[in-house]
Amino acid sequence: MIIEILVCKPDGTQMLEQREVPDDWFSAGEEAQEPEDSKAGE
Amino acid sequence: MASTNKTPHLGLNQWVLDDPFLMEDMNEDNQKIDAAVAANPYVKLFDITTTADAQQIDLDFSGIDLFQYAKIELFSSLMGSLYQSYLAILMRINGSGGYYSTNMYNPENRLQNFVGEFPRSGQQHAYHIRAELSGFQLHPKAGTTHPLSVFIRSYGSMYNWANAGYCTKYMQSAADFQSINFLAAESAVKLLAGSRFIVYGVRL
Repeated sequence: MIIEILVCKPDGTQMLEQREVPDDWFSAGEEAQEPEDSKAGE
Repeated sequence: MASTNKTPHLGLNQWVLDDPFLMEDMNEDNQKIDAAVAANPYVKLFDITTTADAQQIDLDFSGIDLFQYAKIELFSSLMGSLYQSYLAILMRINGSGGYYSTNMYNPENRLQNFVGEFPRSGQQHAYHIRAELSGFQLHPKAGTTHPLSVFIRSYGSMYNWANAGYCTKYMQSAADFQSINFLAAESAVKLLAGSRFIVYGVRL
């Protein structure tokens, strides 16, 4: 789907863009196990 | 001769009527002020109030050298277009999520597609967001697999408390850090104009 994104830059300029994103873009997502070779610290 | 009195912190001249007003004294004061400003580790990187509604807001970091900062602090007060009791605001980096560290509520590290999740404030569709990000320096002996671990501490992320607090985002270098993204967890919701984002960088 196509969504509207407001891109803000440090100098204060703002630009409204349209961008195509996956249909599940707004989902918080399913939890997934972290791969063993990239285990994060506690 | 310098002025009779001095300010307590920087020792700037405070003249009385009988004191000579000398250019050297004024230049010395200006140099002290300039040095004090340069010594302040806090740099305001963003202070933006949005002027249009959008489904997502991106803060563009592509022109900022994060390598020179110990951390960045982010504050935001934003408003969604729709009230729903469960609706949260998601924060991402470069359009994707990260790994949540182990804690007593999240016994195994989890990958999710956000790096922060913020609940609405009270009974309104307003959100108060606060987060700290650090770890932009690459250790000289770091390997090539996930050499940089940006650490994200988000505050107020208690809507889904299993995911609250600490998150890690792997990347190759600080130069890969392109944007912080905010969106509601539902496509029908727009983030309203008038939302404000402030980001401070704390210099090394």
